[in-house]
Amino acid sequence: MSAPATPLRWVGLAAWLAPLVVFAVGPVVFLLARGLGAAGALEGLAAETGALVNTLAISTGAAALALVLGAPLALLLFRTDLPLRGAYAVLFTLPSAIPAFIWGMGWLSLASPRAGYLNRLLGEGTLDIHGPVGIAFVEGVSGLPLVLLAGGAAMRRVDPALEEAARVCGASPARALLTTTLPLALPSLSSGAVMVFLMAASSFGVPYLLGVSASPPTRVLTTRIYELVLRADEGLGRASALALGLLLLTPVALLATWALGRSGRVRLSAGKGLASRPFALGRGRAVAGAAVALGCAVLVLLPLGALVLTSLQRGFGARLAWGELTLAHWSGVLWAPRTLRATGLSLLLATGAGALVCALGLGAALLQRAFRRLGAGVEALAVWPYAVPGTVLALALLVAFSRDWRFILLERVAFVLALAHTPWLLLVAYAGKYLALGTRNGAEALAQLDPSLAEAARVSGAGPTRAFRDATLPLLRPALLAAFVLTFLACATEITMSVLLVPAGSEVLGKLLFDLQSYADPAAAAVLACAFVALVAVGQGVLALLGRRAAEAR
Amino acid sequence: MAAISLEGLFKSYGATQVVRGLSLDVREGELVSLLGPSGCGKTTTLRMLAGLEHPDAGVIRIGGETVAGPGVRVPPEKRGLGMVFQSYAVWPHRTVEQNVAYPLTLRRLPKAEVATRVREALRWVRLEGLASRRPHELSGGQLQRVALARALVAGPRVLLLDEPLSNLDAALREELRAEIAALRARLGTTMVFVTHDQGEALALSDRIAVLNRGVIEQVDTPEVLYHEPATPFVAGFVGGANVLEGEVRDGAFLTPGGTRFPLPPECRASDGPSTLVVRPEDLDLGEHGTPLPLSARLFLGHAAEYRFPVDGTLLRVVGPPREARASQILHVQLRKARLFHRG
Amino acid sequence: MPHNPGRMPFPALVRGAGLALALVVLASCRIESAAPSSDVVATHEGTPSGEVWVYTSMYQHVLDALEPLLKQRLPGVTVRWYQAGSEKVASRLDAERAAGAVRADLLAASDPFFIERLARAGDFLPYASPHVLRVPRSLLDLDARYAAIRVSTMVLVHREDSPPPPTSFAALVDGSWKGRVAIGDPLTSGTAFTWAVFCQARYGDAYFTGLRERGAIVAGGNAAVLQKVESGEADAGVLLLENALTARAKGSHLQVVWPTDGAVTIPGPVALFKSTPNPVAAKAVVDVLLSPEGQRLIVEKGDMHAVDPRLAGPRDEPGVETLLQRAQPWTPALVEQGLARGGALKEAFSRAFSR
Repeated sequence: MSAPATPLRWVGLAAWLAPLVVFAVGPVVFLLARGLGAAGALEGLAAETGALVNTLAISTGAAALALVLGAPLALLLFRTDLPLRGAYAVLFTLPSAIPAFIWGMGWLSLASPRAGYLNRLLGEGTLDIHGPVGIAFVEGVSGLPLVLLAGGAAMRRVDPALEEAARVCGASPARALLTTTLPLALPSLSSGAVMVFLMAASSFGVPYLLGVSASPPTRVLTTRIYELVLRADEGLGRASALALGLLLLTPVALLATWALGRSGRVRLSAGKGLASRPFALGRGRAVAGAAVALGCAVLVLLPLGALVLTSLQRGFGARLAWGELTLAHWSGVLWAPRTLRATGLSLLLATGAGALVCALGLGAALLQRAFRRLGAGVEALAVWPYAVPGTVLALALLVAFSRDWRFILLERVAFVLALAHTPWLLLVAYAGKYLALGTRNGAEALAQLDPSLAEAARVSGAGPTRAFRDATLPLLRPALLAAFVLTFLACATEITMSVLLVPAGSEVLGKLLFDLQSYADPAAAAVLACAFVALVAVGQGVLALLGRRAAEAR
Repeated sequence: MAAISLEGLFKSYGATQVVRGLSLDVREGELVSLLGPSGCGKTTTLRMLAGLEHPDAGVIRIGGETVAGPGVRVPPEKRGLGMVFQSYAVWPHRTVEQNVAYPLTLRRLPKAEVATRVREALRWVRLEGLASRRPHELSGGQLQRVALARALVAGPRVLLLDEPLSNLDAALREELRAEIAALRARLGTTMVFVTHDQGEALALSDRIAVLNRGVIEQVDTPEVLYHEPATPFVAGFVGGANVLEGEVRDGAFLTPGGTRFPLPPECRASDGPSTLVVRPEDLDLGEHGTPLPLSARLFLGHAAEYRFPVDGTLLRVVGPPREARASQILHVQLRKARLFHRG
Repeated sequence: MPHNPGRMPFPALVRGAGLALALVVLASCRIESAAPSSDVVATHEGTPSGEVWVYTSMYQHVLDALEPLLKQRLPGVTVRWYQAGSEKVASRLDAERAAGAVRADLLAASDPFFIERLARAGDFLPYASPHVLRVPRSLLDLDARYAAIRVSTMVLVHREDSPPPPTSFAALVDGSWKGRVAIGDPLTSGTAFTWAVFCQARYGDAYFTGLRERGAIVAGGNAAVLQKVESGEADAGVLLLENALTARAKGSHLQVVWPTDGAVTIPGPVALFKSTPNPVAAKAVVDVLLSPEGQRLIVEKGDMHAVDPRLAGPRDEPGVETLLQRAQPWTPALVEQGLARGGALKEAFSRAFSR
């Protein structure tokens, strides 16, 4: 067997590392080094403590909110006989499937102090979405699925015998659930919460949308970096220093997930389907059902409804009356050739990025397994770009690849790597930024796979590649599919990097959305957002259907 | 010619030496068990035989062909083996039929032949009706039968079994054990069987290799192993003998705690530090012998087991059932025993 | 049993991925002769032809409208636009300049300070188009390094049904007007920054503290300001004239107030990069942009003022000369202030508002 195929291992590592270093880590390090090298980089950093404190507070708040909402929800959706739990499971994944920016837009039209729909109903100034609390709320809700899905997967993996053992020891069903299954799923839940923390710390759209108009304006590291980068002169140096601070959060967060994950990783027993009985809620069923329905309505449906309303209004802030509604924005935006072109390119790029992320993420997961101790470094490297603010990554790529790279062979033939002003650069940026999704999904799934499944294929007469294809890959497919879908959705509407990297003469959806929201009218942006939500909903539906069919076929 | 020959195998993981100079020959059509406690290197040995691990030193030959050795490393798929895993390793994304057919499709056999041979293999393990089921619909015993059919379907040179019964309950274990014996009688396949259960090993094997800490302590037929263990470890592990440390003085065995057992006449040994090995059924309870306080009595049906505390361990005696209370003093006498001198 | 879970047939996929990546890289590679080609800096004398890359902050729909005109006037030229907010254009250009590979031939951004900075760095090729003869002097660089092609204006807006509007920028802070105003964020929006430079020059840092005390809402860009005013979140706003006019045309109930202390004009200059490989075509594109037809499109489609004084303003507003009278004048001192003390201004602004 390929067992101590040591050189092959290193070849694999090199093949994996080369693109990552050349296209993501290298340019960023180069840019940061340049910025830090510039004079005055560290001056005035003391003035940025406010942004740092805000970032930490908002991210912690978002993670805590996601955990507090996600843990009971995961229990209710995946371990009880809650009515309509299948539908809720799909609805509650929407917050991650739709860009946080769009949720921010929805909440802005709901809870602006004076003009928000809710405040018009409840009285002026009842709710204010601006400011740190609002940002943490929106980020926390949009990160909810990360906790929910991680917790749900863990709860389904926990051997039902453990819970039954608690029952036999004299625990009531509810107590058994809370004292055995919940603690066992807690590491996964918390690891999801750590990802929410990381996501919130590196996000830009929502803090910008909701922070700048707050009084006083809420500045976080990412928005500060954006402001500083725009100040061409001495700004880059300070921005680099701030970005470095943000990047240091990644290893810390990863360390936390490792520490949490070590105790909580439950290996799926090979080939044995574990079916746990849903816990009967009894009389509490109606109450729990109502609570979840209310939560779903407020957290998911309300902001989406607000978006739809905004997209239909003749002018933003008009009286709420039938006469003021119009479909003009819809026809004006949806069928514009510009929208169609942007959609085409975006879908193409998102597909490419999704495929790349899956392949590289799977590679990272395999390398992690092959190298063990060094594997931690592999994972850190793969997750790292996720924490790099989009603006910084985009600028780094621009600095690195604006000039063509010429590799001269035998002094006669030159290979010219001309990435600048091509969609390739966008692809590189997307794949680099979201590699973390593929790596984490792949590693989690691989860790749960019993190696004997592949070994059985080897002994049956399959070569290493064939065994991987026939035994390992099909079992990793759900995780890889999830990684692909998440990456696809994230890339299809990515805003920050797209705006800077889009090649001259073409457009992508994210840039279009940003342009409409910030230069044209919000109704048009809302139309695009609604269309995207519809697209995601259809995609989710198809996935759910496929999932059900796969489950039936099994 | 030996079907399998292992010569001087070494294997370590990091600083831990798991297999330390192991040699073993298995004859054509023979079933040899690797028996030992967990961590003794038996599974590692089997995995090296399968090609899933590569020995640090030593040579492995299968059917005369060197498959592992200096400069030689035949990958598992080229060794023509079948293997059954403790965890079943039945692929959850394939039906029973697809699982069993897999080794044949890899050999590019025509479809019709694959179908016939899969049917036949499923008949061997009595799963004819379940061909189109998915693994999650099967019980543990059925899954292990699928694994068995999959391992046998291509007619392997050797069948490797890695604790195939240890995940099953007692009744199923019994049943599957009989089935493996029947299959072997029918197919005549050479088998290497890894287990930590001496009962399984004794019942199934032509020969048993007892492993301890990476080396083979003894290889023999079950009968020889049982009656003439070569080391105290083998005696203790096979047949569950009592093993006592102490010394021989004046025709008796003395434990460090001062308990004295007179030795039977055929068991003469010179004085000095020794290990006493005696099976529970080779001890008599009667009027004579060493007086010991009874700590527990277990009724076994045809007999009863009596336990006496000796130097912090329990001396077990199996004899005809009789009335006895706890802490009652009974007399214990050695009928048959083995002594091993300690150097 | 201590067996090794790391022994999976892992390299296959890694190799596959590596191969795929290598293929992707190769696919995006161009293969050419390593000998330095001599015709890279061909001057293209005669008819303009080839590609011209324009980095611009002009609205996409204006570019869409200009496209047919350019096609008709310059059939041999392909114009490629990189369109983004002026601050994004600036970031991208700075990154490309840092890499020493500016791809743009032309820059048409509405950030006078940025253009002036590049001009001082000697990045531009002086060019005086024959069409600039009529353009008011204050909108031109006397060394011909750049020339405005359009003028945006910062004015006050309010909803029709709102209480009495402010009449001047000063009224936002001096207490004569009660209400909430929405302003753009000078830290991220180029136009808001220009407006802030003017206000600071005239009223000092106290202007920012005053805004803060009267509860001004800082919105991101001009669209956000528009949204805040339209929705009733704010009573009035400081907004680009073209945004207000476009919104009115779409049926919004918005009113424009020309501040009595002078609107702030923001000229949108165009400049040629020295590094352009195709100056002939680039100059031809500048000529088309400054031509009466090009200028008319900027007025009609972009709702901005043309620099050609013969043309009326957008939506029946008076032309550029009247605009310049209504507006605060640009002085060299102002340019200097925005250029040299921009950082300090942003600091002052964020200090005032973070209180």
